[in-house]
Amino acid sequence: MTTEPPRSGVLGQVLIRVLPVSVLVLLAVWYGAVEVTRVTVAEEVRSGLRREANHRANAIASEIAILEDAARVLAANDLLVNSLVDTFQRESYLGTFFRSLRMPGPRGAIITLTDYRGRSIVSTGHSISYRGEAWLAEVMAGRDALKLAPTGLIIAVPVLYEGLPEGSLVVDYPSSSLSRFFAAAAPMTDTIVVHASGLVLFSSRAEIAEQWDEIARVPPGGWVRAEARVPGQAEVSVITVTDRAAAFKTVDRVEKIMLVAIVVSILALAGGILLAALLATRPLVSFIDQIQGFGRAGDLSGRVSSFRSREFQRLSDSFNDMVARLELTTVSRDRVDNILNSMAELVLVTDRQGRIRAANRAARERLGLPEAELRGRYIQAFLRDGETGDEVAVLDPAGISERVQFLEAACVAGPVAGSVAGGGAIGGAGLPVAVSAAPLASEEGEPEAVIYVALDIADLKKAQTDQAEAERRLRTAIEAISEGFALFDADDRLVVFNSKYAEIYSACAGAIEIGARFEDIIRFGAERGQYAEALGRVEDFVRERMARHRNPGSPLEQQLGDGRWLRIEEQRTEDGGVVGIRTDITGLKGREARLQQQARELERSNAELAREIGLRRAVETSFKESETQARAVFEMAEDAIVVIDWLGRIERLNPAAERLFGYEAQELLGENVKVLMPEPYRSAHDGYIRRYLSEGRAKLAGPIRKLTAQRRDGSTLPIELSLGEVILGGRRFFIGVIRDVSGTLGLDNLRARLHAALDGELRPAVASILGALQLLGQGAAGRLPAKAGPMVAAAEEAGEDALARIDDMVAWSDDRGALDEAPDTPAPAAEPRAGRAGS
Amino acid sequence: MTRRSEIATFGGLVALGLFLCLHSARADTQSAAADATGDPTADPIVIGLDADMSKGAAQSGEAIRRGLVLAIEQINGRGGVLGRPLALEVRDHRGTPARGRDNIEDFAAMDDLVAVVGGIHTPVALAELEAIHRHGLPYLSPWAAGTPVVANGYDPNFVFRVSVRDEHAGGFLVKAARDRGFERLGLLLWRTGWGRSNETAMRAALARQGLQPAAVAWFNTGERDMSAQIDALRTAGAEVVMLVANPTDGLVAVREVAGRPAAERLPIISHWGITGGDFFTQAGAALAKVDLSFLQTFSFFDPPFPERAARLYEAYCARFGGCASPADVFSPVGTAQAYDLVQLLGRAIERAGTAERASVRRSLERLERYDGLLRNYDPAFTPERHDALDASDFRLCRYDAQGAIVPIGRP
Repeated sequence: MTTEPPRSGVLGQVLIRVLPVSVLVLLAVWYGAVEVTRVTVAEEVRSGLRREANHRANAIASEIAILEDAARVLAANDLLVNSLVDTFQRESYLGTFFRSLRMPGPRGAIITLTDYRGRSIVSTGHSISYRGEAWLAEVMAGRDALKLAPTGLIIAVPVLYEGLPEGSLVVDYPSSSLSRFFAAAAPMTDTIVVHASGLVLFSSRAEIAEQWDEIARVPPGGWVRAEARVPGQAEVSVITVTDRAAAFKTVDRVEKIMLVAIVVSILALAGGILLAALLATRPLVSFIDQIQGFGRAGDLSGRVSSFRSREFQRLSDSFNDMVARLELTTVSRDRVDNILNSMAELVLVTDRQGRIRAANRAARERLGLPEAELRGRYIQAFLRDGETGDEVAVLDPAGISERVQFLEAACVAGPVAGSVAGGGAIGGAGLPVAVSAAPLASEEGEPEAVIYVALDIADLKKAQTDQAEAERRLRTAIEAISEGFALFDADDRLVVFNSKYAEIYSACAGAIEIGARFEDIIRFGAERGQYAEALGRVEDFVRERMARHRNPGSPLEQQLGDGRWLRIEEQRTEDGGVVGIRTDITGLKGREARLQQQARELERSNAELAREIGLRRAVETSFKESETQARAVFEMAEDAIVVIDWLGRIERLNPAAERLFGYEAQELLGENVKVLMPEPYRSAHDGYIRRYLSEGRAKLAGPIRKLTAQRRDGSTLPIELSLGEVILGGRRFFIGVIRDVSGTLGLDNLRARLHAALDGELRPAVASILGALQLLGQGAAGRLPAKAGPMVAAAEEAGEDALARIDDMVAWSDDRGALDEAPDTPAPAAEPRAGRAGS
Repeated sequence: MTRRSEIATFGGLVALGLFLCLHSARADTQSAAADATGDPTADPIVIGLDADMSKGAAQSGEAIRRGLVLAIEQINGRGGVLGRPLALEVRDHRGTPARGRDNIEDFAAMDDLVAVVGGIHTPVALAELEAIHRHGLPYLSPWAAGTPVVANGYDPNFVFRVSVRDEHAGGFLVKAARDRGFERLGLLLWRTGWGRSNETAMRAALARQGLQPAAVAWFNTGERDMSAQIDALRTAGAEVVMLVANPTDGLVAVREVAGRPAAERLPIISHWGITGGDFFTQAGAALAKVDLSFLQTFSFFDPPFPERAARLYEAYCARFGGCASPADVFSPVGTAQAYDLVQLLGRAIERAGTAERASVRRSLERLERYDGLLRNYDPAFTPERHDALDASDFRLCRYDAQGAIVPIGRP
């Protein structure tokens, strides 16, 4: 691998990579800050102008409203109204009246009374007619018309005759008077009032009016402006303006100052980077020089000198540490090689495919090949299963556990015929060895190689062969004995037995094997009927037999399960074991034993029969008495009684329960008791029983529960339930006694419903009727006929009387409720509590 | 009757009334088609109605319209006039002269229109006179009583009236006051041509007895407070108020009097203008406190020709419903006079043999005898006399407790 030599040093790299980015960031900050300032100032200026424009527009609207009020007052004058009707004589008084009028606002207003089509009836001006004016329709629809136009301000209000507009009063302020009208309370800001046609109605300064064309452009060049419509005057706007340059003078100055600051910052940054790079590169160069020195000298004992800066100090420490470890590793490997070569065992290291990589001196000598020749050969060529003769399979290191695996079979070492050219010093003779192998893991933990250690076991093999021969002779002798023979060692384990022994104890065949403990054998046999004495008393027999076995003395007679008799003679051996001989004596013992057994059994069964008869008689008598009493209580009880089993199935119920729930007993027997409950108890009930049965320790018979039950027809009723539990013949039953309490709750419900109906429905209804009647009486629905007046009054009186009576009854029903409410707990809350009471 | 059942009855009646109003309104819209059933192929001869149909005197306008409808349907049922059906075209002048004048212009432009029937308002009729005569349009007044409406100075005169003439009413009202022993009459007048027409008439009537009004007080249209006028009359020592007003202003005057202590409440003898609207309902309790009598012409309770009145009543109830008694026929003078006017007009067209306006006008002056609801017109009009009624047709009436207009002294 070739590496391109670096083009520049650390300093160059830092400057190239850091400086441009930093400069860009600083410029972006400058730009952002200037923009934010500019936008903020612009918004401030605009909102100021908007406020001013709105204020001015509202002021104009208020001024107009004052004039409108004056016109409205005049239009309501009955002399004016009369003149709409009195067409012949009105001239005699109307002209004088109009000339006497003075309207508020700018002078020079022309006041005109028109008919419904805008034709002048009387006017303070000359030749006035408003016929065909667009606003006339508005006025004749009963609404005021306020028209601010370049020609002037027109305020027209309808003149109502019997509630309908029949003419209009028009006050017309000429355009010449408008300037004063707008100038009143002129604001500090430059203001222009313009009409939708583009004509300037007013401007606070002559220069502003001259520049109007430029101000009106979108966007306005050189100006900032805000506009507000005069309320009620869709065509007239108030515009406030200010010179853009003046408004943004501050922003421009801020922009310049910030630019200077940014340039200075960039210079400072460049200097800083330069200095930092110089400080960093100097020790680095020194470090590199020292390392290069060690490399050239090949000296692992050298160490890098210390540095002032923390990072470089850590770098040098790490380097020194690494060199020290390298030095140590080199020494260790030499030692390991020495140890391996000094070992008597053969040590071979293979790769994962079984190819030999290394061999110690013992291996080289035993296999008769130098290490160079062993390398690359497969381990299978030298190791072979000793007993089967099969070749050892490729030993995949992955198939060998981390710990040493001992290959039990003695393997034959030596080159397999034909598989290794040139053969080895051992030739084809073979060498019995015990081999252990272990995987060698790489640094990553992956199995990489296998190490095989083989031990020469030629002497061990020889000794084993001799012992096996001696054992075979002894076994033949024992087999020849006609009695059963068995030998147990000091640990009481079976060492040797003959086939007669196995035949005698055929029921113990599964337990009789070399190494089995005597106690285990007889227990095994006792449990399977091997010994007559052990029937029904296995442990006692074992205990007795073991006592005799541990202290053998006189011969023991033993009867087997199949009736045969044995005589057992046991004796201690010198090494603490026991040797035993079994002789069959069935012929002597058989008859006598059988007779005795039969007599014993007869006696025992007679006694048991007598006891049983007495017991049954007593139980029968007691059962008859209590059954009669319980049945009477059950049948006659006024409360419903339901008995259920632990699955909730109804076992019994009394006639009162049939009556209460409306079922025949036959229909319910076997049904789940939850059919007698409404939801949600119905779904939850199985859970209550389960929880009680699984967790139940607390007493079931708690306080009486107030619940809701459900009849066959689906109707529900409030009940009180008390619960009991009984265990009969190993089965668990629950007994529920249920009392119908609907009678007592019914009265409360009735009272509550009465209260709700009176207070919630009847009272508001009567109150609203009364309210409607009062409004009717006050003329809300127009003037009532004379006949209706007294009737409404009478109805009001009757209604108030009824309301008072309702109030009395509401108070009564409420008092009753306060007395009765306290003791009852609502039923829905009771059941979950009952469920927990059982747990 | 218990209070509860009274309320229930009242509610029931209100509901029934509403139902009947809606029902009759629907029937009216259907009548437009029925009007034109004389001969479907012939163009109808149109009669215009120019009256207040929406304001304070709208009831008078509706009463007139009903009289017209009944007469038109009766004539159309006979085969129409000259083989053509009669049809009605209604314009609402809302009591405003300017609208009335414009309505006359609209009517004049209708080719098939033969004549216009006016409403209650004398000032409107007076304002229309110029246009009426400029267009040569016969104008029939079933109500507006102002003397100058007919005595208008135009020749030929296109205005014909089956109604009160103030000149006659002045004498009748003054006589009614004098009969009750009042000498000092206080005149309370509407500041319009109608008020002035009555001032002239009553002054003349008093002058004939060597008397003068104790005082004359004027009020403007829509005036809300007439305490100053009543004070002025009382200060001048008036014993009775002679009222000339339409319903809305009349109501203000009556309430002003009713609102005073019993000793200060002057009796009121009124011209009939107040009966043009729903005066009884609106006056309410005030009416019980005031001694109010007023001029009427026709009354179903005391008709001059009971059989003729009964036929009209039955036709009215069949056509418009809502009748429990003659008291339910509101503003009966408007209905009766409009009915007679159309009958006279029909005869005039028949007689003229054409619906041409000038011919019909001439024909109206030359009618034969016609036995009408209000009188036997023999004839109704002459070239010199365009008022069909005179003081002999007048009577003094009052509202009874249920709001029915009943002649004084009768149930």
